[in-house]
Amino acid sequence: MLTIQGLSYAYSDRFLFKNLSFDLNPGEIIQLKGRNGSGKTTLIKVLCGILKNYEGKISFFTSSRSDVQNEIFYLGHKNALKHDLTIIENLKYDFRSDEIELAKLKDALRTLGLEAYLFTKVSDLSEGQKRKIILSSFIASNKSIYLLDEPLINLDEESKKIVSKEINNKIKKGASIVFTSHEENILAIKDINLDEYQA
Amino acid sequence: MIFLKSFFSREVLIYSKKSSNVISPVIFFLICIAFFPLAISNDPKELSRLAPGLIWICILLAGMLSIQTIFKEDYDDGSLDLFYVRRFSMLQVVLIKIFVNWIFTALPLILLSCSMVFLLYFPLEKLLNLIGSLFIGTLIISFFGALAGALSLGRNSILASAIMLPLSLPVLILGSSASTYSSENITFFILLLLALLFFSVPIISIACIGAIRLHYE
Amino acid sequence: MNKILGSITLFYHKLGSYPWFYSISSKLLPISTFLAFMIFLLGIVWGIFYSPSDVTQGEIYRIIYMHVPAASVAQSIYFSLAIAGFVYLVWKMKMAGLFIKAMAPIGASFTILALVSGAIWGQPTWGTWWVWDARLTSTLVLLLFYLAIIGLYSSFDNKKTADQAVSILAMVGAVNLPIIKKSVDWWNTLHQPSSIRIFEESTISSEMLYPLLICILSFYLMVFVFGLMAMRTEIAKREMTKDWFKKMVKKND
Repeated sequence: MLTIQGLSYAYSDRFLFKNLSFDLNPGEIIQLKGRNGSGKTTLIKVLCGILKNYEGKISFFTSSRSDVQNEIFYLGHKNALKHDLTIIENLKYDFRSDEIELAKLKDALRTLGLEAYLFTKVSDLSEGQKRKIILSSFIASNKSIYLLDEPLINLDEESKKIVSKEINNKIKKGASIVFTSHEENILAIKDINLDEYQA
Repeated sequence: MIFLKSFFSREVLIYSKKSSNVISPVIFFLICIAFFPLAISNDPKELSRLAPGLIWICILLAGMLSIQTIFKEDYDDGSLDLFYVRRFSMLQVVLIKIFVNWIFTALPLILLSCSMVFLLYFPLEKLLNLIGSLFIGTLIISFFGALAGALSLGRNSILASAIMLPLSLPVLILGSSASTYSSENITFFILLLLALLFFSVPIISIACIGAIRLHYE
Repeated sequence: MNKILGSITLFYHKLGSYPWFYSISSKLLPISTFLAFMIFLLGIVWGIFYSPSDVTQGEIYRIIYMHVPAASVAQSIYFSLAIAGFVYLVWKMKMAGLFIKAMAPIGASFTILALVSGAIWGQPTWGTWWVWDARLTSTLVLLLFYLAIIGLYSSFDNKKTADQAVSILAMVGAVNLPIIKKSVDWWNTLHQPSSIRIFEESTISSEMLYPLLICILSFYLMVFVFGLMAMRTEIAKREMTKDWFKKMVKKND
């Protein structure tokens, strides 16, 4: 569970968002909305601990005893893929997927239609396919909090449906998800429009 | 510990997959060295007198090219973000990245500088001094270069050079002196270089971590 | 004791406040400008017209009244930058970051002045514009550090990040400068001794010393004045849109 109280973030003296509060329980999903530059990506980065000089309180409660940061799956705007490595190598050294069994990862890759490219260098793939590599480690992972920044970007319609379904599966299993997207086809229980939290 | 090992092998894999990382500094180094005799003189006596300084300058410049971009790729593609998410110790990240970069870019240059005995008539009896001082000196330079790269992350590379080169001046002086002067002074210079290494590694590592953090505000 | 500590903390907090600094500096500026100018005039006139000429160098030595103060000021400014960098990083005092930004170009200018006046002095006395000795080399490197700080600052869009970056660089540079000086020293003693002895241990006569000290004092005052002006400009740039600044501008109109 994730609780946010009075969260504000300023970038060079200008507040991106101010006094933001919400709760996120297990099995809940929140969609962040807002126009460009309203701070959606920034909020995701603040939540997962990349940006630190925020004001307010962020608290996580997880059932497992392990470190909270290990319970977070972060999918950023950028894919964090190494272009000279193959898909398999990338997944092996990505800290989001290095603990997942290879069979599970391969299943996920198959779901997204990447099984033929396992040993292809990432630089030879299209932008959509690159996104799918990270999404496959998202599908195969088993964490309690997911922070996803534009998960569906660059995907074709069919893959969008597959990923949306997987997101729903995660929620059913009791994970909490915060995501940003301009898409309307993922069912979120709550919307947070950051335009309403401008200074 | 598991993280250390996996991160180390990740870095090694990335460097070994991209051969231009290793080859470009070598080419640059050889071109620089080849141009000096052509521009100055082909007199063996004069060249052997200038050799230590020339080798050191060329290694400094060749190393500069690759060390400055050490954090750039991880910053651009978002890998650094992930390190922060999982709260990996940035000290380990910085040290491993610098060390692997050193193995892949400085080490070939050090080995190659043995051939300067033929190309620049470098006196054979001083070769060991040269290699020894290069081993320590290039490590220190790598740290300065990493700091410059971290400060100017996502900015132009001339700026990084403007930061790195003045900082590297003591290494250049001590290193080239160590490979110029007769043996009784060598231990003095090598010890000074070692002292500089142990002095600068903690300071520069901490400064480096702070400098990377700057780009996440 | 507590009272003293309390007033020090109060002063520290005041020093960190832009409006307080802006108003106090506008009061300090006229008087310190006047003082700096008068003392400079006194030192320079005394030095050039009323002090005796040097036995060996003749009249040319009088450039000392520009050269030595400039060199001394150039070094002091750099170390003040490093201290400001430390204060900024440890206590997050905004004014310290602004101080670095404002002072770096001033320090660079004085370093150039020291180098140029040194070269002009060196030509007739040693027969060369430039010698690679420890002092000259480290002054040159000092200039490089100043330029690196200025360049690094201008490469950032965000002022806060820029302040932090130059703070780190200023501190690392300050640690490195003595090492550079020392290593050039070692290098120099090992090279074939240069034919000219530049800095011989000489005792300067008091008739020359007093105007020199006055000149040095006036240079520090000058730096104070320039610093105040540069910092005020920088505050104005950063706080242009703030209420207190608008109000003050209106009041002064």
